[in-house]
Amino acid sequence: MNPSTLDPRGPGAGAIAELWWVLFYVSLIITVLTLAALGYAIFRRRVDWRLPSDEQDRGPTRAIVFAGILFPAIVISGLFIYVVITYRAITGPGDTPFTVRIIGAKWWWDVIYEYDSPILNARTANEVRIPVGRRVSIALESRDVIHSFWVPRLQGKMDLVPGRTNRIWIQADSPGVYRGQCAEFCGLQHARMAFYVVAMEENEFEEWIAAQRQPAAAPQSDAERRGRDVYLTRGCPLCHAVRGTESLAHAAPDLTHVGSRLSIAAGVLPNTRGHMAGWISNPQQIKPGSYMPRIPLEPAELQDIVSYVLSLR
Amino acid sequence: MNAPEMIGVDNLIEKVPEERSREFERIWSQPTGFIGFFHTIDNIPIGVRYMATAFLLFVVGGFLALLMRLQLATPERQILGAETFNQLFTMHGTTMMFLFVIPFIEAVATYMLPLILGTRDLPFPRLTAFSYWAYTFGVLFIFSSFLFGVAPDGGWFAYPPLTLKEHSPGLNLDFWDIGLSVAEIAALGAAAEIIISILRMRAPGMSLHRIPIFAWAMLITAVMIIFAFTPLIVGTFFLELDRKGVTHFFDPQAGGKPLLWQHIFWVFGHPEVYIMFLPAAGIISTVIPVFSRRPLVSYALVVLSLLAIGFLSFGLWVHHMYSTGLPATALGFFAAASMMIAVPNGVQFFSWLATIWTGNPQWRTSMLFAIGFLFNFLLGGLTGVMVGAVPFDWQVHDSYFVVAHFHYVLIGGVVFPFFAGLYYWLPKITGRLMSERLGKWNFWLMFVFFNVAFFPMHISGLLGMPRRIYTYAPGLGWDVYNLISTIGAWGFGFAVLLGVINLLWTLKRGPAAGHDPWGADSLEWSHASPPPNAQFKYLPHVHARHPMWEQESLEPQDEKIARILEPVQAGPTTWRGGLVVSVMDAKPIAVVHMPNRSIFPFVLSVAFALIFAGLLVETAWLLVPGVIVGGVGVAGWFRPTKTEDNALAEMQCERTDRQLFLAVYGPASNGWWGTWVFITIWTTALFTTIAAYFYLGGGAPEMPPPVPNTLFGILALATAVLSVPAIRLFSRDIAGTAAGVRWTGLGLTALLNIAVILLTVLSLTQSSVTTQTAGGSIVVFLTGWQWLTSGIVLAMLIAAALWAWFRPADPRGWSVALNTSLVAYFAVANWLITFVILYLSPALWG
Repeated sequence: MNPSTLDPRGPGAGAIAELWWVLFYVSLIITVLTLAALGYAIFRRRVDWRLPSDEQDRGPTRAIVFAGILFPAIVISGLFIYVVITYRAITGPGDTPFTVRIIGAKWWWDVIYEYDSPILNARTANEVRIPVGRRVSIALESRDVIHSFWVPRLQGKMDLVPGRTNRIWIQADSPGVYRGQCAEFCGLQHARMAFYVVAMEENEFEEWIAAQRQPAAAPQSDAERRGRDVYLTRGCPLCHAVRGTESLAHAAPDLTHVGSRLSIAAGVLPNTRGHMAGWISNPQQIKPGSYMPRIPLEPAELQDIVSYVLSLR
Repeated sequence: MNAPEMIGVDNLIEKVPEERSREFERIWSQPTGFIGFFHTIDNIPIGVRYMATAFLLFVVGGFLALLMRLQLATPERQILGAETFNQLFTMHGTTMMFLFVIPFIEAVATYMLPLILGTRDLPFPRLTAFSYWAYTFGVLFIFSSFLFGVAPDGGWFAYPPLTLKEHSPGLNLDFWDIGLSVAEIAALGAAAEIIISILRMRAPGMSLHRIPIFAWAMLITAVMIIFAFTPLIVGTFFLELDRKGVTHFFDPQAGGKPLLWQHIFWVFGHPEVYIMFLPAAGIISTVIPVFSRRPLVSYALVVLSLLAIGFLSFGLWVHHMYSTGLPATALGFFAAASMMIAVPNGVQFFSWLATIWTGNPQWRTSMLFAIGFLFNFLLGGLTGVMVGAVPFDWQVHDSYFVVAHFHYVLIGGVVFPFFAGLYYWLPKITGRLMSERLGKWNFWLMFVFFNVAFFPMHISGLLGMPRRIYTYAPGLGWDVYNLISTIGAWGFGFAVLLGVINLLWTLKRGPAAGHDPWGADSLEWSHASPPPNAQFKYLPHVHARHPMWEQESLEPQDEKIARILEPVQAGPTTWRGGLVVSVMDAKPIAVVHMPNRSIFPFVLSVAFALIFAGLLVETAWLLVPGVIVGGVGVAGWFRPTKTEDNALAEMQCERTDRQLFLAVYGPASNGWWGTWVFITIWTTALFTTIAAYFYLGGGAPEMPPPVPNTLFGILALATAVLSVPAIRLFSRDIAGTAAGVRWTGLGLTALLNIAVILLTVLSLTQSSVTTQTAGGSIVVFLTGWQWLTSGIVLAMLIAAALWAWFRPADPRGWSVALNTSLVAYFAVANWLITFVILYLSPALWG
């Protein structure tokens, strides 16, 4: 689960990690050689030089030209070629029939699966599920300030800049959950704007997205029904959407299938009953300054709405 | 080899009568007392104040970081809330980048450059004092925001849209934006002084290929400041106008582009770090040779490297923007350039290494800091090449890896050299030697704790930890590295404190340093420590690169030169005179008058403080007094003084090769050179704005910048061109022009400039251009820039008219007239260029 760039699980981060090791070992060798030279320079036995003539300095000058100009120029040129190769390996178009359009906002991620045929589209938030082994096209946009999409074990980061669409691909070569976090300072709760990329086998992915396309499940129990009433009447529809009800706003995460997500509050809290209750009852305590207001609820109402929300699988 | 005994210039046998020597010392003495404190404009006392203030800011800025590290020591800590933390990291960065490093460098240059170059002061002493006071008021202004709980909180690089009013509604960013203006002005003033000082005011015989490496570093740095800080001024101006709701440069909904800010900011920001590094490299190139008892290996290669770095650093800025979605070709170019800058840095590095290798190292504290620098800068430079590689940067940009990188190059590569410089020069400044024992503890603790604090950040960055986060979740693998960093940071803080303690101990009990405790090679060591205010009573004559090592004596060897220099040896005595030399060979040419005291730099800084505060809270109650005080300040600054009258009475102003003349007006005067620096700044600002114009217009063909009313544009152009002969009337053959002709010229130029302003205003009002769109904003800004330019011309014309009225035959009046003509010609060129851009270039949009 640790989001280490050095523990890649896909070709994007994999190619970059290889580049890192090359840069690292080249730097290590240069460091050792240079420090050895410095050490020798410091500790060697002295010959008393007076003001050296240009003749006497010819040798040292040549050494400087070699060590400071020729050697770095050659090494850096070589590295640069490798850099270009790596760049081409990690960029380019994706190969999925859908693009995941991710719209950043303070401090959450709106995630829209877009197909050529709009009836296949789906929408979720703060979680990106992808099929294993495919280059998934990602389109990055922002509705307020600059954010940055970074999932270290899969790919390099790319900014979400208002007014433009940036595109990358991400690919996971094994199933798993990969943590990502916003990597461009976006204000008060920048530290609490995370997300998860969940890679699944292709058939499981198709099942998952088919479920995401469906409207919300109808409430099964009394608690859930009461919870739905609380949800619809206490202001939630002003910002949130639950497809299948009249709640269709998208100023906040889409909740149609929130019950099946791994986390809430943008990767900040695990999606459990306790955490959901804590979040709904007082978001300002967990993420002060976030745009979800604190709406006072009776304890019974709270329990009901939590039941309802968790039922939206 | 040791410095020849008694080479100190102030030990030269007095060659003039005691009376004259005493009068010379009196005219060069400092004002005393409480009021005198505000009148002082000498580089030595101002330099000391400046260094002390800037160092204090280092400690304050560092303390902000220590608080941040407390919060980050363990996951989910709750010592500081999000807003406080965001203010702290913003102010830490802003303080270090704007309020410490460059002011400290300016301070060291203010104090040391004249001593190193063999002159008596910097060319514009009132500007020196103004830079210091403006800086101090700016610091107070920005830090006062903490008192109101609204310290800047948008990061030190303040990216919009986050920093636009909509997302930062409080005054935080206004404190940042307005307060920065002061850092910018102080830096530009210092740059002008440093350039003119190094090019024109050196000891006779110190040709350009003999100036110390530190002087080369400062010269190149100063030129870089002109070209880097000016775009920042334009950018911060754009941001403040957007925040006040006047314009929409960065608002995507109005066709604006957030990336425009990033381009402008980093065009400044990348050279900025080399502006910080080059003087530090200059200090290292000073210290290592002295403590290796031999000159630097390959002076020429090092100077070429400094030039290369200065130049190349303007071609790297996009590497701060790799992840913004730019096209591959751009990324490739900037990656190649960013990686290649390792080459000139490598040349310097190996030159230092070669100097130690072939020298005889003396392990004073100063030298230890230089070695510590080499180690840390090596690591920082290598990680710099790494982050220059685009794909790798896509992982570590905005992570703790890059935080580690830049602290290695900024603390390792700038602060360590500063300490090397402090231990090297403080004996000269205070007259007392610092404790070597405390010094070694200071160094080793700083070195060890610095690495303990920052090395782990490479790892936490590679493990996925982003930067600028006030807390982090546990169990991500980041915890132990953050704890180690916090311990290291606090250790580093205490280590720095040891240095402060050493300084305080030195002031109380340090043994006398004598004039040359290190047996060094450059001119500052020819003086007593501390140097007298009347430094270089007898100007030294230099004919080698390392005068204290290579010369038997600092007296002029040539009879002819000795005779030419006579008026300035222990003289003049009723006014302060500085020697001007030829740029390349340092042949004595002329003398310039330098003021000895003035309260008006302080007054003008107060005016700026009032104006800034007034802009911040948008109240006339502060703005109007500010402008009035500003008027008083400017009038007092430029009014004729008694010492100037003395100078005019004693020396002739006509240019001659046979003897030194008083350079008051024309190309020999410092004012003329200063005017050219000003024009360079203005041109840079114009081209920055033009680049913004094309950036906002390109790529969005549905929203190109609108075109103002062409008829009025052409009329304005015709009017501007008509002013050329008018300018000639009052400026050609200035000494021989009849009063009537001069007045006609001044009057016509003024009228025509007013007409240009009116016509360009009409070109906007008689069109549909508004500032509601980004395109309209840039068009109005470009047009408004002409108003500012013509406005400055008008102000200078008023000054020239005042001189022409009250003192028509006074060369100072001629100087004002000539400098005014330069700016007036420039105003014509400004509109010509603007006209082509605003009215003709839209043809490109077809």
